Amino acid sequence: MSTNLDLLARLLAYRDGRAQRRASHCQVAIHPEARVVCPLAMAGEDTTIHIVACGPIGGPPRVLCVPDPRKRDPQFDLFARLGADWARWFEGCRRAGTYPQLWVSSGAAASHLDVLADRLRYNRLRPDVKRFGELLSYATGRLPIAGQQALITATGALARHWATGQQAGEDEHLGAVLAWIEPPAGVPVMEAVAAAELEPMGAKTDPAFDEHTLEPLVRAYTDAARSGAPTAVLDRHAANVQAALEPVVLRIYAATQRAIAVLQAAGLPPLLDLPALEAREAAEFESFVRVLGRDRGWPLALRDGPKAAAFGLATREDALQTAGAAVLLGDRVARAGGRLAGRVVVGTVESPASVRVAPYRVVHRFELVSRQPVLHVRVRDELCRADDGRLRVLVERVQRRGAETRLSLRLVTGQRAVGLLAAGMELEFVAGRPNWDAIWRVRGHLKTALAARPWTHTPGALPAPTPVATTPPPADPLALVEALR
Amino acid sequence: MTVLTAATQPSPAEMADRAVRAVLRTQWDGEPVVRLDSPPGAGKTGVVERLAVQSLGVLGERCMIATMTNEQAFDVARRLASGYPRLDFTLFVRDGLALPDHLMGFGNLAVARRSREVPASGPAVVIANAARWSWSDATQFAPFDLQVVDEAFQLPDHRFQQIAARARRLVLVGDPGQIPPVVACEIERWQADPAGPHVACPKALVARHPTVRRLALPVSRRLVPDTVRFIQPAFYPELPFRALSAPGERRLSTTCPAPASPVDPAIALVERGASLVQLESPPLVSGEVDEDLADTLVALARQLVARGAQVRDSGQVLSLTPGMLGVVCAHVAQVNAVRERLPRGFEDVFVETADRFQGLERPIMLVYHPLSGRADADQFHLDAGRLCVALSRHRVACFVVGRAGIEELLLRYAPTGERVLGSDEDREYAGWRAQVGIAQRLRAAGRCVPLR
Repeated sequence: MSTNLDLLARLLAYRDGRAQRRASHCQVAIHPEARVVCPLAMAGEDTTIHIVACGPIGGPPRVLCVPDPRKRDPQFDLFARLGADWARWFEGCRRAGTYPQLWVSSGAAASHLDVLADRLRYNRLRPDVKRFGELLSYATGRLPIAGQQALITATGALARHWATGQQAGEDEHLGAVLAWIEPPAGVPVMEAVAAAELEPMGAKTDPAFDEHTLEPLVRAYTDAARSGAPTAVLDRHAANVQAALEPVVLRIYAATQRAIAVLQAAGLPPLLDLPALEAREAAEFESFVRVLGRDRGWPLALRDGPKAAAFGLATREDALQTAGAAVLLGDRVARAGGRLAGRVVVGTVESPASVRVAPYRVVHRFELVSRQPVLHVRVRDELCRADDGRLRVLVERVQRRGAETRLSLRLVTGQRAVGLLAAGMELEFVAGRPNWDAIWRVRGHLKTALAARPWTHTPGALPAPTPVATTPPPADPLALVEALR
Repeated sequence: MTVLTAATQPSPAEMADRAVRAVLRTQWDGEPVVRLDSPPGAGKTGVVERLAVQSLGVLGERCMIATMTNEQAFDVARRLASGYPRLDFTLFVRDGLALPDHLMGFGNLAVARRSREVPASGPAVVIANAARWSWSDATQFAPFDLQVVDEAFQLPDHRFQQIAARARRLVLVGDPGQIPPVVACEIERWQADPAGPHVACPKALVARHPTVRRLALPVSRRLVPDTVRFIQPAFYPELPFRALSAPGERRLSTTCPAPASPVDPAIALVERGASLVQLESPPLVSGEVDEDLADTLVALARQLVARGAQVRDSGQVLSLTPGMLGVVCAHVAQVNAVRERLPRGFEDVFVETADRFQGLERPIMLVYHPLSGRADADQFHLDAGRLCVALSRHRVACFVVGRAGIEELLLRYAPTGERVLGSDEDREYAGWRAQVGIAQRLRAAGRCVPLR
C-alpha cells in the first residue's frame, strides 16, 4: 500500500509537471568533507577511467585525464594520483573520528566504481594502485547496506525526497530528475526532460560522441605515440582528448553538485536518527581501517568464507531493520505509508482493564480498535508504541469484523513509565524502534557462536559414520519407536 | 539421492513406512548427516518426532530439535508431549515469550527459558527455534548427540552455521519445493555462491559436501492422487512421489440444494472427482487487491456450506464447517480483503498468506491466484514455492480463483532476470516454468471454469 502512496505522488508530479516532495525529513547526511567524484570510462573498457572530476561539495573539481586509458602506465598513474589524494582525505576523516563520503551522479557511476574497486584492490604491480582500490572498496562495499552514508548516488538521494512523474527506472538519469525538480520556466517538463536526457550523466560518454569526436582524437594520440612523436606533439594530442572530454565530465560534476545544493536548499529538517546513521558510518569506517587490517596491509578477501558471510549478512539485515525503523518513525510521509501498508497500527483504546493475578502482580489489558484496511499483525506479535518505545504490548487476539479490526493487547512493559491507558486514546504501534546498539550485540554473539568452524562448513571429507551401538540395528526401528507411544 | 522404492511394487503405506525405517536406521549407523527431502504432507514432522523419540527412548541420547519459528517449536512440542506421554521433553524459549494455552497442560513438557534450565546432561529432547539455539550458552549444558532441523529448507545457511556444531549427528528435514528462506537485504555479493549464507541450509550443505547421505519420502499423506498428478511434475521434477490415499477415497459431495451460484460448476467438477479446479473471472488488471475476487472467494465458501457439503476423508464423512476451510493469498492486503468479507459464523475460516500457511493443511482450500489481476509478473509473484504451498494445503479439494488471462500474462512476461555466473539456480525462471506448467495442465485437463 505504501507503493500506492508513491504512485499517487508520481501521478501528482505528472499532473503538475513538477516533482512532488515525498519526505518530511532529510534522510541523507551531507558530510561537509564529502567529495564529489565523476568518472568516465572509455567505451568497452569497463575497468578504466578516461577522465575524472573530483572535488569538495560546492568547490571546483580537480580533473585528471589520460589520453588513452588502455595504456597501463598512464592509467595507473591516474589511479595513484587519485589514491594519494584520497589516502590523505581518509586519514583526516579517521583522525577526526568521522567517515569519508563520496557522491556520484547515479547508480551507473557507483557500479563503475564498484567494478574498479574489485579489479584494483588485487593489483600486484603497483602498491599505490592497490591502495586506491582498497580505499575505493570501503565505499563500494558499503553501497548495498541500508542507511549507509559512504557512497551516495545523487539520483538515489533525490528519489528518496522527491517523486517525479516518470517511471522509477527513468529516475536514474540525474539531468532528468533535476528537470522534474526544477523545471525551466516556459518549457513543458517532458521537453525539458527529453533535452536533459541528451546529456550523458552516468559513467560513459555518448556513442555518437565516441564515434565522431573521441575516437579520432584517441587514434591520433596512439598513432603519434607509436610513431615515436616528440613529447610536445603527444602533449598536444593528449590536450585535445582532454578538451573533448572535459565539458562532458564537468556537466556531470555540475549536475551532481546541483543535486546536493537542491537537497540542502529544500529546508528539510534532518531525520531524528540521522546522527546515529552517521555515527554508525564512522564506526564502520574505523572498523574497516583498523579491525579489518587495512593498517596492517591485510588483503581484502575476494570471496567470503562462511564466517565472514554470516557476519556480512547479519550486518545487512540489522542495517535494513534499523534504518527502516528510523525512517518509518522519523519521517511523516514514511509513517503515513506505514499506516497504509499496515506496518504502523493505529487505533483507539477501548476497555482498558487491570486484573490482579497475584499479590504483587497486575496484568493490564485493553483493546485497540483499528479501521485500517491492511494490518500486519498476528497473535503473539509484540508491538511497541511508536512514540514511546518503553510501552510494549503483546497481541493476544485479532478479530476482523467488516472494516474494523479489534486487537486484544496485554501490556508487557511500560505501565509504570508511560502510565495506564485511558479509553478513547488514539495510539500508534510498530513492530520495533531503531536499536543502534543491536549490531554490536549481534557481532559479539556471532564471534562466540562461530569461534570454531563446524565441519559442516569446512571443505573436505565428511566425518566417518560412528555406529551408535555395537550390536546390529534392529530389523524394525519404527516398531521400537511406536512401542513408546 | 536415494528415493525409497522397492523392487516389488509396495503399497503407498508400505513405502511410507519403509522410508521412515530407513531414516531411523541411519541413526543406528551413526551417519554424521542426513538430508531428508519431503514432498508436501509426507509426514515430515512425524519423522522428526520419531527421530527424537528413538534418540531419547531407544538410544538413550541427547537430541535437540531446531525449528525455524516459535510456532513450529510449539507444534513439535505439543505433538511429542501428547503422542509420547511416558517420555519427558523440554521446550526452550526466550525469557518473556508468551506460550499458547494448549502447551500448559502437559505434565511431561518442561519449559526452559534460560540456558541453565536446559537439561545439563543425560538423555533429553529439547525443542527450540534456531535463533534460540544460537543465542543459548552452550557451556551450560552437555553437547547433543543428534540435531534434527525441521523445515530445514526455510533455514538460511548462515543461521544453520551458528548451531551446526551443537550436535555430533545432523538430520535436515524439509520440503525442497516450498518458499526459500526469506532474506530481505541485498545479497548480490553471495549470489554466485551455491553455498552462500542466504541459501537454504540443506542445499548449501550438499553444495559443500556432495557426498551427504540423501533420502526422500516417497509418499504424500495429504495430497490425493489427482493433485499429485499436477503438483509433482510442476514443482518436484526431481522428487517422484505418490499419494497415500487411493483414487476416489477422499471426496467432496453436496447434500442439499441452494440458490444457484456462478461457482456451482466448479463445485460440480470437484464432486465428480477433480481435486484441483480453477475459477476464472473475466480478465481485469485490478492491482494488489481485487475486491471482486475476494467476494468470489467468500461466495464460494458460503455456497459450499449452504449446499451442505460433506467431506469423506479417512473413512469418515464429515459435514463441512467453516473451520475446515482455508484461504491462501499472496499478500496481507488480500488476506484482509477476504477476512473483512467473511459473514458472521465464518470466523473460523483460516485466511493467511502462503508464507504463513507453510506446514498447515485444511480439507478444502481456496486460493487467491498470485498472478491474478496483475499487469506484470515479477519474481515474487512467479515464485514456485509460493504457488506450490498454495496448491498443496488441501486434503480433499482446492479451488483456485483468479482472473482469466494468466497464461497470456506468463507468455508476455517470460523471465528476463539476471543470470548469475556460478549458480545454476534461477528462481524466476523456475517459478515461471512451474506456473506455465500448472496453468497448461489445468487447461488441458478441463479444470478451468469460467465464472459468469
